[in-house]
Amino acid sequence: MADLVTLTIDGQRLQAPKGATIWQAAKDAGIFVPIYCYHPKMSPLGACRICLVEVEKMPKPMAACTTTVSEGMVVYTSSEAAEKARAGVMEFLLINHPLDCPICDKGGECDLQNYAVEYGREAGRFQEEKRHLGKAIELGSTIVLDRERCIMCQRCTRFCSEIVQEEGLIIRERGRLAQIGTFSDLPYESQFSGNVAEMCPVGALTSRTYRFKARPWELKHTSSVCPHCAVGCNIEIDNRLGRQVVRFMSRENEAVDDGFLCDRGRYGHGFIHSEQRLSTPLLRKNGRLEPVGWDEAFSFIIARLQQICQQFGSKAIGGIAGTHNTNEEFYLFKRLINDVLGSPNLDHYHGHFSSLNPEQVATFHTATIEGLDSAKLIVLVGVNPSVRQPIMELRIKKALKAGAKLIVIGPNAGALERFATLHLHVPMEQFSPAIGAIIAAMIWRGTAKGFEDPSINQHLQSVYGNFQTGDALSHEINRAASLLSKAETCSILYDEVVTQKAANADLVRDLINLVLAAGQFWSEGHGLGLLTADNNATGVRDLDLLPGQGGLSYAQMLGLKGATHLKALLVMGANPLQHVQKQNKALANLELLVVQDMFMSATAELAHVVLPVASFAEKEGTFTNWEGRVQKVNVSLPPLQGTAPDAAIILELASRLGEVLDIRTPSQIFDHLARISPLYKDMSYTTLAGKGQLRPLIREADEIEVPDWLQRATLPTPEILRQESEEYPNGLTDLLDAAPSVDVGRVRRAEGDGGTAR
Amino acid sequence: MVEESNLKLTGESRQKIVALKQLYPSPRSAVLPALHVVQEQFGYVPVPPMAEVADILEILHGEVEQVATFYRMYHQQPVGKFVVKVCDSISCYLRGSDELLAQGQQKLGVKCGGTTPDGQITLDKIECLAACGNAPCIQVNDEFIYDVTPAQFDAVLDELKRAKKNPYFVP
Ligand code: SF4
Ligand code: SF4
Ligand code: FES
Ligand code: FES
Repeated sequence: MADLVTLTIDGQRLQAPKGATIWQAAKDAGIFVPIYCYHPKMSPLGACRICLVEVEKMPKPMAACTTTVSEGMVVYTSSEAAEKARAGVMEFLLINHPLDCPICDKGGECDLQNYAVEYGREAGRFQEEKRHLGKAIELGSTIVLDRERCIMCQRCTRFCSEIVQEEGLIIRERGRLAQIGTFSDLPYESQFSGNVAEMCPVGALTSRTYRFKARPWELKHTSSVCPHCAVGCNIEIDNRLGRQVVRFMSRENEAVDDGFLCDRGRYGHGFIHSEQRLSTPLLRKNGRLEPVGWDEAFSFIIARLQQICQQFGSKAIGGIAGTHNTNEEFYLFKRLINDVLGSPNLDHYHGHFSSLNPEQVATFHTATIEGLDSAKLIVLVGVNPSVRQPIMELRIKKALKAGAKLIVIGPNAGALERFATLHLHVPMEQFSPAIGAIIAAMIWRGTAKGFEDPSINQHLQSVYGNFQTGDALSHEINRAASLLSKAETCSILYDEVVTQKAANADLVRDLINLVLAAGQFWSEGHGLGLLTADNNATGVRDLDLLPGQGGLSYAQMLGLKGATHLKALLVMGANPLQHVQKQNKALANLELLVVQDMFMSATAELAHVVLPVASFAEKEGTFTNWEGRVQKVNVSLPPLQGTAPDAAIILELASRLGEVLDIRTPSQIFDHLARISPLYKDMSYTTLAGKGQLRPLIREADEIEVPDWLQRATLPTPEILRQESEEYPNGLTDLLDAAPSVDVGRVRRAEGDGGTAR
Repeated sequence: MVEESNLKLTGESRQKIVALKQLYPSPRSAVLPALHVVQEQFGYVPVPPMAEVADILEILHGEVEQVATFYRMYHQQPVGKFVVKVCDSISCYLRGSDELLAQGQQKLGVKCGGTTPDGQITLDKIECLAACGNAPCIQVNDEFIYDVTPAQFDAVLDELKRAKKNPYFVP
């Protein structure tokens, strides 16, 4: 193959892609070459020289991280010359290094220590006084800098300028005087700040929350998934002596997080050990919630449930699930409500997807996180990842850096706004007409990929052919149409929250039509993407925790659509009261309200019984991220004394109601799901560990057929698109600026508990 | 004296920088000449105009400061009327530049990088001026003086103490 070159490294003949570095070729062949300044996600710099190797016919040792491979090259990574060069580099690096390892947070997991042992001399030959610089400098609210320990590898500064692409850490001065700092000494504040401490190869940058909390050898590492938003970044829970979670570190999953975490995720572990966690069941006695034993709480619930069932029938019972539990807990909750209690009243807080059922929703949303890397155009419809799905901000910036163009539709795209090729300032209730207008303009051009297919062409003509766009935004609409027509690959992302706006209840149809027009229908990795906010908002829909035949919806159960016959409500990990603006009697009139939660909430305050539950770090199971990747969380520590995992509570309730569920453990449940649900078809609990697995694409046919339900009976009203954004009386734009609820609720409560999480 | 935080580029300086930006395929390439424009206006490179330069060139503020502090030609503090820069790179060093520097410090009563109390002379060192054939070499503002002997250096400093304009200026 023309694109491969053959070379020899340490006597091993191997092939490597043209343009690869010696370091990469060696790594692929399983040969270790040490690095400091090189970072696989950033451009090579060649600053530290620890990666020096001997290359035949070269007069001097070469830096493996910057030298590209060439045909016939012969490399020695541990010859005498290479070892000598490296020992020299180590000696220079240590001239001014304070060697305060015993009081350094990095000690025990420091590359400088490790390579000094591996490649350095026993003793340095420099007798002179070491240089003294600032120590324990607080760069901002999260990161502390020790200037003496810095080896000027510039990973941190390049992370800020190349990856985050915002003001951040810089080098000031040069040579001997060079120091890490910030522009004009302003505080270093970034929602990705924790990454610099993680990637600093030495102890120069440390996290304020972790400083002096533990020694690396005391830590037990558990692979898990961040619970703070729907990206589902892979984390490692680091637990000191099996007793206390002291930090989250990234556990690189290229397909999801690229090895980075946002600060909300990274520093969001305080809630696990928060003093405010519930640790005993509470039962309402004489109007007040009093601590009781588990048995008393269960007996009370069962007695009430049985009585309500007898008196009013099972339809008087309802269940509301949260969006943070594991898929396995959702499954059990659904069985409890639908099968054991026999009620169709089951729902969770979610967006509107026309008449699509969960399977169809999954089918039509084909965009993936990794797909963004190869997208030529990214369209954000009412999306603000900077606040809601932070790591998506970095992933999108990466795509833009690789040349993708960006269209922003909606009021605010946060930090991504200044990168937009085109911004359509459309108020949220006009998203549908705006998308319709773009499709109409694309029809007029007729050049987009989708129009090559006669049936799609005809379908779009029939729906949008007569669409009147008005002229306020016609220039922008036309540019959007032109960009979409030209883009070879395109990902269109929208936030679930925008569909909660009444005017957008049918938005998904227009978006799917847009995907059809752009020729991205059923593409793998591109097309439509539904950004949810909460970490398992996708799983709860996949598992169909929705009203059954004649069942009450979320809003109905909460009395938002008038009085109901509901007498008992079981709530698992949700705080529905936060969505009820007006005082309403529905919850207050219940004869039984049971809330399972880690903390008190507005809903729990009203409950008859509150059951304290385990955190995500204290149980195992799976979460499904926004793109449909199922990932596994594992047990880092046992449930807090007095609490129980939600699953155990449900199983106990079921058995006390006379039904012993036979599918009980997370692995049994998941493997069962993989058999019965087309969404999780052919997955297995054991193979999920590691990098997780994407939901299989379910296609109705091999040929692209335009589904019937996309044909609209009526056109969206061709209102003039207004340029000016309006005020939103019900605060939905605020929602777009709001972080996922677990964060707002749980992390805030945990503040002062080691969490400077923002 | 104006508070540093209030320092602003003049319209003329801004125009010059905008014009420089057009000269390069990538705007960031104009950062070096743009900083010279700043220094022309203020005599040194204060912080607020660095941010202005960054905004004009569409780069991060920090990226400008990295460059401004990397190169010795840009002054980070206000300087005297005349800046005497003694080359301390290898050729000049071998021909006695360190002695010139010591001599200057003693004569002017300032440390390297310092300015005389009357604001007349700043003494500083500089990297190779590419005049190694005539080492040791010094600069008075932007003008070169070659093959400097201690006696000559003494005379140069004496002259500058009184001068109104750069006597070594070559149009
Ligand atoms: S602070 Fe750490 S990451 Fe940054 S340059 Fe210094 S050693 Fe490298
Ligand atoms: S982007 Fe989301 S999943 Fe990733 S670390 Fe941040 S909060 Fe956690
Ligand atoms: S890792 Fe190669 S020079 Fe730093
Ligand atoms: S070393 Fe002084 S001019 Fe080159």
